[in-house]
Amino acid sequence: MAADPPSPAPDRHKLPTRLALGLTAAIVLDTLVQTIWKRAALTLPPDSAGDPAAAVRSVLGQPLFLVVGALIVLQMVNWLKVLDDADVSYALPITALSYVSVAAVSALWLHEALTPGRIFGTLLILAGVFLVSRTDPNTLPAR
Amino acid sequence: MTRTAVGLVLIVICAVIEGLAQIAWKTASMRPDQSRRWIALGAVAYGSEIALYTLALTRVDVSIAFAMGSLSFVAVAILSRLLLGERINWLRGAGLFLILSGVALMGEQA
Repeated sequence: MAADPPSPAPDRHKLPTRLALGLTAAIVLDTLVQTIWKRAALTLPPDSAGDPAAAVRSVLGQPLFLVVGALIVLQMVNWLKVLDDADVSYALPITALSYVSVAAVSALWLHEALTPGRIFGTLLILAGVFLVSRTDPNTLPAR
Repeated sequence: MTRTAVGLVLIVICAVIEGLAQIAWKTASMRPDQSRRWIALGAVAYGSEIALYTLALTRVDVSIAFAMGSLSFVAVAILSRLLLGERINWLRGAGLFLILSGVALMGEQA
């Protein structure tokens, strides 16, 4: 009886769907956390730093902070799943794209300025994060 | 000091605190016999950072605050070099320099 033909080797360079979804979710969650956090912070009284008790009362009375907390937990769960499927040195620079998405969403929703200087600064940071991620992730001698 | 300047200082402090939290959690993984203590320390640091970052957001645009938060990459690199003996090669140094340059530019734009 003829043997079954060998199954084709998996293409290691193709991004698995689950990982692509996880990375997209990481960027979306990052963006949501930051912009909703800012929106919530805007509801705090102006003298929050000088009156911590009033600040805590404001935080507890603002549902948006609960939403931020829930999103942060979701973020952590999603990130752990992403790290199941990818090296952190691969995943981290991709999620740095959230610097771009936060700038864009904050301009649209929070009406923050999107100046050439801010765009260039964001791109410099993105480039820096990318370079750092290309280095050896473990420089300590093996134990 | 203006409100914006206070916000920027708070962000820098947050970056340093995050660096310390990351070092604490890294130490927890290196010293299993003391891990609970180091994990708790990291958690307290993160809690402080959340409070200070919220205050910073009342004074600075989130597009500035979030981008400047990348200073934590620099803080982690320096603290891990000083306290854990991790190495910074030229490529990592170049990346950190770009991050610092971007942060400085964002700070000026605030």
